[in-house]
Amino acid sequence: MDSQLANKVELDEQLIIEQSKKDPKRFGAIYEKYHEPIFRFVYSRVGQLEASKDITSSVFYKALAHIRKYRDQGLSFSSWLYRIAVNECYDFFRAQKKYRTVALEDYMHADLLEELQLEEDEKEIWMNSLPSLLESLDSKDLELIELRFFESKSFKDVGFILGITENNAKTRTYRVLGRIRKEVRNFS
Amino acid sequence: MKYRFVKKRPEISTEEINSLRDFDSVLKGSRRILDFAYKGKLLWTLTIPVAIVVYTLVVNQTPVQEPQDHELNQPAQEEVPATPLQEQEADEEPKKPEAKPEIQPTESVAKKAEPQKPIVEKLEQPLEQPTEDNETSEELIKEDIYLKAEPKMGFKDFYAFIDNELTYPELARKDSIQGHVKVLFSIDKAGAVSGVTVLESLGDLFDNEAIRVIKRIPEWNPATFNGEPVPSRMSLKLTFKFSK
Repeated sequence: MDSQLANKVELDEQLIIEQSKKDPKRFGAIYEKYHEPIFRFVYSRVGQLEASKDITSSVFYKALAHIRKYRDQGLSFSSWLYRIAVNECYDFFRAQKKYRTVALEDYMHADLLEELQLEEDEKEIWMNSLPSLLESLDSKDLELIELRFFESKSFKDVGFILGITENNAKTRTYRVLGRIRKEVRNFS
Repeated sequence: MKYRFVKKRPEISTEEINSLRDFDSVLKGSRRILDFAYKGKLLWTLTIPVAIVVYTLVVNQTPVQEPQDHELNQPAQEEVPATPLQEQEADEEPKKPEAKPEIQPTESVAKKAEPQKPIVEKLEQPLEQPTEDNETSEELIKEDIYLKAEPKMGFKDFYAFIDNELTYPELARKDSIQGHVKVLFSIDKAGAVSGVTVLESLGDLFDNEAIRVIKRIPEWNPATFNGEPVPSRMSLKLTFKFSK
């Protein structure tokens, strides 16, 4: 029953996208549905309200302007929005010479700690070393972790959002985790 | 990429986010992009036929001089080694028989290639451009923010101190070893350094020298969260260069 409902929602979304190609106002339903998650996604990275509002707006108008190019690749339409959002955020950081905001508490997320397989005493080291450890990661590696563990995206989604293959997203994520684990062990 | 560490994600309520919704600006923005794309297309569709006409006129005019140029240029091309520019042009257009001996076609090839360059640069620039974030104190002095530990003397004097203090081990001089030692150390809430360990070694002589210098570094200002001191760890690369 649930899966039937999910299929119906997907079909409705596809229908709205098709209709939006002819009548842009139909895109309003997509905007209503995804505005909040995309805004939160942007805001957590940018950390400034006004800038986040502008970036979120540009994500949607760019998506709408290019909606004819959108092809269903077995991913939710939101993945496409997240992909545009990531690019818009990094364009903003570059153009405005701004820092990318990183919330350290997120990195104490149970899923991530489990994946890192840290011992109890290593968790404190992890917490104290977070800034210097995270600073050594490039932005794509940081996004891999955040998309996978804090946004709970599948590797297929993560890959699509960051413009890499699903396998590459998977391999790279575990490589980064391995590197972090090794550094934490070095610290202890 | 530079990061600004905060304790938690900035909080915001659903109501506040909803109050920021503005679908009209989305419609306007999308229309602006489509209009721009349409104008661009229109410009191209007008420019391309004109460019083709101009190109054919140029090409058609040149054969009048071609026999002379051809004869004059041919031996020169065989004897005189091509300049790097000519080589490049020849590589770009190897299959055009008319283009080779004549000057004009190659010029037009160069002209054609020129506008492509900025496009490539434009595409590559945003990807490779380093972010030179200005450390605006205004941005850093904010609540709920993490500030890294730093030496009390400031980083500038700190690096000068290291430069001055770090000595190349005499015993290693005969082997002319160069490289770096990466050390890791803890800075407690009071700003005291402890637990200096080597992450990337260059051999005992260098490692011991690096540890010695780090231990000699005077007090640190501890890392802070909202102004509250917190323990932290820091890694540092100390470079050893062989001189004399």
